[in-house]
Amino acid sequence: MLSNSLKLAWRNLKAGGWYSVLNVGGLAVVLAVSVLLLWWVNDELRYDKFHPEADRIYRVNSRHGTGADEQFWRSAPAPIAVAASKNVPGIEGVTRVAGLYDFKTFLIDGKTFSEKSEDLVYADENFLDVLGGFQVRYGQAKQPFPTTNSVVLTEEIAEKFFGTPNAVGKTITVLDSNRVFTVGAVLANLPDYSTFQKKIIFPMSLRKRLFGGNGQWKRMDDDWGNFSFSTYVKLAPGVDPATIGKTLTTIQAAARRSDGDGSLSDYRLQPIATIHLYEPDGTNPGMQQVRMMSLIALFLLSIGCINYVNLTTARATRRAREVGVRKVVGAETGQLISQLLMESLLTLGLALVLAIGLIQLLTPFYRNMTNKTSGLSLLDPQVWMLLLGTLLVTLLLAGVYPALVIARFDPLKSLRGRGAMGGQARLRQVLVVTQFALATGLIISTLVIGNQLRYMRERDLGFNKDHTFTFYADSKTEQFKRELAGESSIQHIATATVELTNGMGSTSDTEWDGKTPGRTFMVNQLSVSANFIPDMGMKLVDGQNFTGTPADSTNLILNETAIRESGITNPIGKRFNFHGTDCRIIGVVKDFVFESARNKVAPTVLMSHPNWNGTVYVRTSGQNTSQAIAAVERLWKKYNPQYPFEYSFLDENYDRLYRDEQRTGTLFIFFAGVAIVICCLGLFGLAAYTAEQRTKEIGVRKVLGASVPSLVGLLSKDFLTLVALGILVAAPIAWWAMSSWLQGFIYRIDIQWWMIALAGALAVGIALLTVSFQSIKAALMNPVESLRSE
Amino acid sequence: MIQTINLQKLFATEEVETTALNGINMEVKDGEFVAIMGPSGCGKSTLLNILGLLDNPSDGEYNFYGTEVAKMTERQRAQLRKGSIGFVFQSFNLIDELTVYENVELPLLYLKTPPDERKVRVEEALNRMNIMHRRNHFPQQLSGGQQQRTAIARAVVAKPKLILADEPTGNLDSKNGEEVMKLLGELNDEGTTIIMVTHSPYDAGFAHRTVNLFDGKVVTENIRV
Ligand SMILES: Nc1ncnc2c1ncn2[C@@H]1O[C@H](COP(=O)(O)OP(=O)(O)OP(=O)(O)O)[C@@H](O)[C@H]1O
Ligand SMILES: [Mg+2]
Repeated sequence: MLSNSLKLAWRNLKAGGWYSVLNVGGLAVVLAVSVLLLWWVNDELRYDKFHPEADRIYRVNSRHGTGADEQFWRSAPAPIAVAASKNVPGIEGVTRVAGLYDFKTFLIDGKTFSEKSEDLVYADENFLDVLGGFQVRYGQAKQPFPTTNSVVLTEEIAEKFFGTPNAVGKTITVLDSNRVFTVGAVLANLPDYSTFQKKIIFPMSLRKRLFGGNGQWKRMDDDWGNFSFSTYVKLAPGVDPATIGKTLTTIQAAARRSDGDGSLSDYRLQPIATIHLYEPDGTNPGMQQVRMMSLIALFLLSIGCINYVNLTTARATRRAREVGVRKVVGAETGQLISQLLMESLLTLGLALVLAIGLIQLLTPFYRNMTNKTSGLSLLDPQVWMLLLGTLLVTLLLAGVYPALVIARFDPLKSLRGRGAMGGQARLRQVLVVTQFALATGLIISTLVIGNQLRYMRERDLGFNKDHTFTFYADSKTEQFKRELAGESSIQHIATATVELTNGMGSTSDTEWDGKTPGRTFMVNQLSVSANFIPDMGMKLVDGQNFTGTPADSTNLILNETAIRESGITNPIGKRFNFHGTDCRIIGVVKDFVFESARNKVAPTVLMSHPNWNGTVYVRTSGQNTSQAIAAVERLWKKYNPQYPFEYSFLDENYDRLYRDEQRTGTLFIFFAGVAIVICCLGLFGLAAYTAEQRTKEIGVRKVLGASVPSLVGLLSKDFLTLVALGILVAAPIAWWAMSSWLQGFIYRIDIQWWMIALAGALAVGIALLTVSFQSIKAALMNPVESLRSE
Repeated sequence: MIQTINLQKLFATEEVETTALNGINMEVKDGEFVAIMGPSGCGKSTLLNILGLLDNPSDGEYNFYGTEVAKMTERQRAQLRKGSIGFVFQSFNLIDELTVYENVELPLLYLKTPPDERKVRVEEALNRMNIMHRRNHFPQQLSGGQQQRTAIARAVVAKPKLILADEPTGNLDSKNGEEVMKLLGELNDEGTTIIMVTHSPYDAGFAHRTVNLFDGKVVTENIRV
């Protein structure tokens, strides 16, 4: 009986012709794409959950300032970790991670390797143990750093440096300081879903030593004001993180009182499993993206299911007679249901096979778009669970209903003809409305997102990022400036502390006349050369530029936001105490952008201290960029023969600020496009079906003298009404959803009426195109043929 | 034996109410061959559908081989129908997606007859209807007469007690019609009860008696002599 019904199902599928192709193909695309999407969602949601005790591990975030000055940082100062591990009951372990900028060039067996700073890190000796879940390939998890001169590598780096993953005991020379390090342990490459993504890990004890060794005035573990340590605590089971946060705040306050400044408001513990998707301030752009993608997956699946239900029940009209006959010769409803389900299962099974093929095809594309190294692998049982789960849901949603409906046909009515189908026509209408509501919603979202992305790209940055590359020259910036002066391919050379998007330092060490006592006013600080403002295309809205003379040591230029938020009126010439030195505001610069559109421009203080300007900005004429780079590189070889020349383009770095947004935006637009196409396919099939069903009516009407346009109108009218209804339903919902999405951006577009109108017009256009094709075909048919076809 | 008492059937649509059957009293004995005749719209098909348990009467009683069925649900009727009634329609009602063989096999599948026995009985029915050579054809590839012979094969394959035929020769030429009537006659000779709706007095001549309907009522009955 089973093989029999399978055979029948197959034959029915074949009998369906192009309609079956549409059904199977559409489902395959929907399955493939939504599985990819859900896989992405799954990937995002499992971030940092691989730490076995993730539910007890928290990152210590800090909150600074109040009201408009409020800021949240994902870091803490070094000593709080020391205090936490010693004096706070309920804490089982504390570990810190800190950025490493002291060196990045290594000598191994005579070969030089220059690594990216973002791959380097200092970590406490116990970090593998406290965080847990990292796989130690070689060496010991308990003691990855046997000495201060130990280093931990990932397999990838060990392979790169030594040609073998087992590098324990081998040595690395740090070129910048001639220190020799011994590999203490090798970790398996970190999974994509780890927020901690470092490849070369040095012990925190080294940082401590370098800190003291630099002749600074405090030891690292006494420096309560330097919030640059990502600090993780593991709590004993059942301990309340809020209480621990309060305890840490009290400890910090006590320590800081003896220390002067009191900028910290409090500490808050954030579960490690949420740090990927939630910001310390509680906003969640990451989670929002996850929701958006889940929603599209859901939309896609529903659109696919709707297509399936629509096409299947529409076709059932033709099958009604068959079902009637079967009942007359003795089929029971149950048997018919299982037969029909078998057909759905076969259709879905075929779609699944196709979908798997499609997924394989799309994987490189998916990796590229999501920037994930591991696509989904068919060897992963989770992938199968996802695939089969999606299939099952689809079967339940799309297979069961038509089977129930069709199997319940009254045999007498179905033998007679159409009577049995009345109810389904209504349902199909509802489904078409739903589908077009979804499609219109997606079109609106696509328009809004596309426009927001463009707005961000084209946003006035307040300076000129074009044709500019930057490199770090440390103390030799003046030599570079001098020697490159005659180079024809170079227009301007300016210097500053850092490359703008790299994050300037910030300080609350500010004071001015009229400042509310006790107010914490955090500002970004950047030292620039006197020609930086004019040559980099920044604009002064008030006052004047730095003079380029020693007088600049007490001259400050503030950005508009700093003036506005500090509340200083008539700023030019006013006193502004900065780092304990009384300075004078000589100018106000138009706000310039150095962060993503999600962040507001922070108050910023520009100063001009030539020996703080280690980064060189080279603006080329735009024509001879390679010549300019070559010229700089020649000089570099002269001054730093041991090190490779590294530079980056400013505009690319700016693009990086928006990379995540662009990526999700592109993903969204792509998937929405797929959903819209699938929608059209469904409508196309349905329109063809309706036209086919009405062939006889059309023939009769033509014989009676109806014109082709009037027939096309007749056939399209019903669909267009449904589409219009769908637009009406979708517009307000999409408007609302996209407004709340835009809320996440400080710099955002307003949703315009034309976007809704355009989306509506597009939906109608698409519907018209698909439907009228069928209608015209039916209307042009020879009436004699249409009459004979019944 | 089947017997109806005061059978009524009303069709109520939004605008009109049609009395299709208006007090039918009828009795058909085992092994009888009964023809039903009457003008178009007098209720012949309606009566046959009720007799065949495809539909319920609005009122009246219907005793089907000792069971009162007038108030049964579709589910119960389907159970009773299975294997005990064979249907033959004017428009054949074969399933286009199935071959001749599979069409005929269908009732046995639903009766869960074991495969060996199924094969024997299907082939027997096909041979008997003289369409064995077409067993792997699809209905569309057959002539009207062949299609109707397939339909009859399908009606008899489960060896039902009762065969109901609604204008079985209506779509056939006289030669093919004659053949179908002979087959029905043979089946009847072997003991199957047959009730047949027809417009053709010639076909009615094959029956033992003819029931004439007019406006949902039995008007006369002729018994063949
Ligand atoms: N499903 C239905 N709904 C409404 N009225 C119906 C329905 N089926 C039959 N009728 C009406 O019942 C009456 C009897 O119909 P029936 O089909 O039994 O006639 P018939 O004697 O078989 O006619 P013909 O010889 O043309 O086939 C007719 O008036 C018909 O219009
Ligand atoms: Mg009739």
